[in-house]
Order: sequence, then C-alpha cells, then structure tokens
Amino acid sequence: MNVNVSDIMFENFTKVNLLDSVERLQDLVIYSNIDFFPVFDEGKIKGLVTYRDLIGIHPNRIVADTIRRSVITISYNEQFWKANMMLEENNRDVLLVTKDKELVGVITKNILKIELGKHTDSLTGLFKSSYIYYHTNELVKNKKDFSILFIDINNFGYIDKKIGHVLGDEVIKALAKVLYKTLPQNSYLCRFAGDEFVILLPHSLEGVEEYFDYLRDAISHHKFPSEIDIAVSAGIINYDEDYRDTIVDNNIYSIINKASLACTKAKKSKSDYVIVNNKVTSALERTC
Amino acid sequence: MKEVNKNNRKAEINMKLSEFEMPPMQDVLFVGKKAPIGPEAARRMVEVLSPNQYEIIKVEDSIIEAIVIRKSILKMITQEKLIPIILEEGGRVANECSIIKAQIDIILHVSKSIEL
Repeated sequence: MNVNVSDIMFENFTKVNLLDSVERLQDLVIYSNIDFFPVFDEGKIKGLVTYRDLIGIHPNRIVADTIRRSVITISYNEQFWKANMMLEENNRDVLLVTKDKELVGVITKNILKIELGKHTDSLTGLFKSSYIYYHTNELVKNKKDFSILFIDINNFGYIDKKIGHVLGDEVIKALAKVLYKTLPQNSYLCRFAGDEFVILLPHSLEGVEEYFDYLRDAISHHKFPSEIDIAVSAGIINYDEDYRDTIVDNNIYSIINKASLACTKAKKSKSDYVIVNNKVTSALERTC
Repeated sequence: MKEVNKNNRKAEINMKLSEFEMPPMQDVLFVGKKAPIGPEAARRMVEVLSPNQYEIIKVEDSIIEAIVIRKSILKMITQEKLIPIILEEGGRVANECSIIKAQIDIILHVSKSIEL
C-alpha cells in the first residue's frame, strides 16, 4: 500500500506575512490551535514559523524576526516514508509540500506519527511490509546493490499447537527483538506476515551468508518463552549488477516474492537457506 | 440668582518640541534578545528612513541578539576589530529586553614622514 505525501498532508493551512506581528501568531496558537505557519512575502514562500519559535518571543516583534528561513520541502508525490526520514534526519517538526514549486500542503510530525501507526505491527512494534517495499523500490530505482533475507520460523505451526497461540505470539515477539538487536547498519527490517520477517541489507552475497550464520547463532543461544528451541530458514536474493541485467521484471513485489518462494523451498528441502540465482535459474541450497 | 459649579476639573497641556532625529538612532543600535523590536524590524525601519546606510550584524552573545551599525563606521575600522569592542561596552549597559542606541566617534591618527 503506497501512501503519498499528498494523501495525508494538511491542505488548509494559515498563511502569514513577514510583517505580521508575533502577537497575532501567538493568538492563533492559543485560540485556534494552529501550530505552524508558512510565511509569505509578495506571494512567495519565505519560510516557516512553528509554535516553538513563538515561545518567549516579545509579542511586538514581527514574523520576519522569528522566521526559520531554511525550510525543507518535499514533493507531493513522494511517499510518506521519505517525509518521515526527512523530518528525522533534519530534526524538524514540519515539512512543506510542493507541486510545481507551489506550496500545496504541510506535513507535520503528528500526521506522520498517525500514519506510521498504521504501518506498524502491533505485536512486535516492527514496521509492516510496506516499509520494505518502499526501501527496496528506492534501491532498485537508484540502481544500488542490496540483498534480501526472507526469514521464516521452522515448524511454527507445530510450536503454536505445542505451547499455544498466546505463547506462540511471545516467541514471535522475542524473535523480533533478536532480529532488531542484530540488525546491521543501513539495513531495514519488517514483520512480513505471521512468523515471517524480511531484512533488506546493503551486503553482498557473502556478507548476507555471514550475517545469516551470525543470526542463526544468536537465535540458537536466545532463551525463548517456554524454553522452546527455535530455528529459522531463509530465502536470499542478492540484487547486484548481474541480477539486474538478467531479470526481465524489476518489480519489487516480484523480487520479494522470489525470496519468499526460496524460503519455502529451503523449508521443504530442510536447508538452512536457498539463494535465488537468476543466472543458473536453479537455486543454490545449503543444508545443515 | 447665583450659579455655583461644584465640579472643578481642569486640563493642563504641556508641550515639548524637538527636532525629529533622522534616523531616530545614532551610529549603533544594540538589540537585546527579548527586545520588543527584533533586528529584522530594526533593519527595515532604518532601511526605509535611511536607505543603504546601516548594516545588521547578528552576534553570538548571551544578552545582545544583533547590532545595527552605520556602514560608514565599518569603512574606517573592520568589523572584526570593532564589534568585540562595542559589544563589550554595550553588554555592560544593555539587558535582554532593551534596545540601546550608541554614538561612536572615531578619530584616526595618521603620521607619515618623508625624506627631504
């Protein structure tokens, strides 16, 4: 599910002028519950004032003395994930949304928090699959190399029946914590569905294999609820230049689906993992 | 018949006349961090009244936010040398809420010798 900035932005914002008084804005914050103001001068956007900028400022001052001139803008057709990254990286509360260089909306931290909640798995606190789809798409679009690790708990159906669904959920929560703790830098993790997790890594094939060995070791040493031993299988795709050149379809859903099928194959063949290898069409497998 | 007015209210009007200073500041204006007029408002004010004559310099100081200074002064002494001096003196009398104007006189002493 792609959510663009234009789907969630505020469109009815209050424009103010460089020469407006700070007192007017402070009144708008208090009585109209508005907490950000795009500032205009002669029809052109000059900056932004948020409620924080108005704290402790003499009401007689003009907006020009309070304005933040370095505003951050985002195009209306970018995804909300990008807006979230931009706010975090720049430690801002507000982004201005533009279309053909015209201001068409405003995105605030609070709007993004609400949207992020919809894309967060309530059991594990991890993001849902849309998070991985977005980052995969960005890497594919920018022709960057990456790897996908599609992970699934072995015999989770049996585990659920053995210890019950409530404790089964606790196992999934515990595994999510292990995955989060061991997540390498510049990597992305999501709970894909049920007992499936996807990790997007900047690693080469060798790097992913090394990381997966380290992860399996961490899982085997972790104490899960009911002292149950769990193991995971994985499907791996290394999306490098060779892979890009050989595949016909660069569709991100198709790429992740291949990793999912490789994971299923690993489980069926009782392998640790299966690597999707486009060049030789058959999958490489490594068994215990 | 005699009319008596018991209400006895008077108005006294005093006037003080003086020439309007152009601009209503002198050579330097210290703008406190919480002053009712900010540096941008001060700049716009002097720019309207005396175009191109003043420059605004934002300063790193605990009390003063900016200094508005006559450009001609900066032609005589560089900003790097002058600002620390006037900031030191201005900081002694200004507070965060005040706007202080200051007059600065600079006398250059030049002495040259030539061979006869």
